[in-house]
Amino acid sequence: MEVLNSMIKKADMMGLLLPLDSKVKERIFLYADDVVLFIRPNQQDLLLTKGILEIFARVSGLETNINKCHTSPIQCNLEDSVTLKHLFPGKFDPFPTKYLGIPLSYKKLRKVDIQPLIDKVSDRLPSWKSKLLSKAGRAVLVKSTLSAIPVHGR
Amino acid sequence: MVVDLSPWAVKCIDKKRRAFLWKGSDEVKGGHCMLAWPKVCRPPELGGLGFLDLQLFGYALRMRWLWLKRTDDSRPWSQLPDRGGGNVVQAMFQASISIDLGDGASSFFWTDRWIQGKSIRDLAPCLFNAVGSRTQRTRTVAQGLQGDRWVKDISGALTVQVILDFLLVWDITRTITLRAGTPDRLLWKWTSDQNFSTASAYKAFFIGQHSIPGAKILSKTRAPGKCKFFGWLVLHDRCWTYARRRRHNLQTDDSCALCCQESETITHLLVGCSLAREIWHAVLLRLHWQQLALGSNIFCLADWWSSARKLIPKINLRSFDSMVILISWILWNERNRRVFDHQVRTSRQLLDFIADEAVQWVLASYSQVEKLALAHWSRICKCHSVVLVCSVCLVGCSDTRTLVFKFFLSLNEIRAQSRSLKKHTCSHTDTEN
Repeated sequence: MEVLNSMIKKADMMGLLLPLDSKVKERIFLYADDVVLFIRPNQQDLLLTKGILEIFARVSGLETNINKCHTSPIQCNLEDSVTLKHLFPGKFDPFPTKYLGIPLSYKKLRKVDIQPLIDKVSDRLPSWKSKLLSKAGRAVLVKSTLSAIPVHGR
Repeated sequence: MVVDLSPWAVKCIDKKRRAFLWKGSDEVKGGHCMLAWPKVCRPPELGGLGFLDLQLFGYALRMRWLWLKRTDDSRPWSQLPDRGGGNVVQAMFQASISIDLGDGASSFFWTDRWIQGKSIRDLAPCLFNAVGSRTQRTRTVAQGLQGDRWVKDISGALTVQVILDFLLVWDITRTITLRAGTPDRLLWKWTSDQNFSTASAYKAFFIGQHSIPGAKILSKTRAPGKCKFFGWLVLHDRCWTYARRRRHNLQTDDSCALCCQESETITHLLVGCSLAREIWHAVLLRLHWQQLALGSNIFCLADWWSSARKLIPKINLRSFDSMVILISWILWNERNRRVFDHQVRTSRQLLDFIADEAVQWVLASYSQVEKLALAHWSRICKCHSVVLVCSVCLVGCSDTRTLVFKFFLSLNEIRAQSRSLKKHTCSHTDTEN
């Protein structure tokens, strides 16, 4: 994965990719098993990225499954979105989306976006379970799992 | 939660947690909840159950971002504009950091605490208000001190108070010398190594709150969960005794179920009632702790508990704590037995029951009550060999100990026949040897 990182960085340094906002330092994020790429939505950049991913796949054997990729537009006009969809035919997933189990958005989160989190909490405390536990046991269960869900989001 | 969870979402989650704890269902009414939710959410040392207060924990987690932003420039988002995470987070963060001044390049002149743990904002509030808000946020110490540029930042009206503050700051800045080459160091107030930790940030929100008496001792005591939970309710005075039922207009008579003499509060039940006093006295006598005996003027279990702890050698503290919980639990059980099942145990039977329970606890690896169990049995058997076994098991390995306690349990069944018991013990001791 470091190879992909340095490939993207090199393309960035050579000026092949259009620069992002000056305050955004990195354009690639690797966290756990997720890779996040920030690309300007013009055709040349997208083609280049696709090329880099293909070269990386051929060298390392880590093929990118385009159908499993999510693309989320940030400030894209309609034309850009069409190009994007054409080149990356994976799931088109506009914000608010979910990253690492936590709802993610550039706007304030709506009630609908947070509702899954709350449902997850109630899934972990089914009433049949409480019948088998004393109050002290329930307290431990609440402490260990219920409080951990909203914090870690998984 | 890290993202700013809206209050209604926190409320929804708390509703679920609360219902599950008190009733075990999806919804709950106030009557089922024995203690107010904010109190349940406090840390155990302050008398809560240690549930996370999601709002406060969110604040603590977001403070971590502010800390990393100041200390670790290599983070990819460190240059992004600061949303700040809300006023509370900002204010709490400012209150919990101070600066060990180096070259002054990364600390802010107006807002940070760089003058021996104090900031210009604290020392000269009027002068601070006379500075533009943008400058307040961006002027670093190095910039400000270079050629006294901070003087030019003052743009508001020059009242007398502002001039007084100005003179004060002027004097202070004369004494400061920057150490070139050493970067500024950010110090976190709430940890010993002065590095940020989310746990300490969360705890800092509870600083200054009063703990309820006995909560700290209870949180360290080792006892089975349900007994500890009962102890927790006792400390909060939330058990459904007759006195409490009467207060809620559920019944008219509130005389004690054990002694029928006084009003049945939880304090009376556990330390005031004649039966309770008898039990306590007998148990303490057995353990040679007579000096702790209950006085006549006890108003609450926690008071007696914490004062009695001071008279006990440190090595026995743990076993004393567990013993208090054990005996309170058994007294409460006896009361419930009399009320609901109409079955009565005499004080002698109760003492035996306490010893059995203690043995059970030891077998369940609560070895703190071992002393209690041993004291009881060595007394009942009055047989030297058993005392010998006891002393063997005290120094012996844990396996032997378990064996001996199991043996005690079997003894329990034939306790009535003291002669055969003696024989049995002797033969057992022989095989042991």
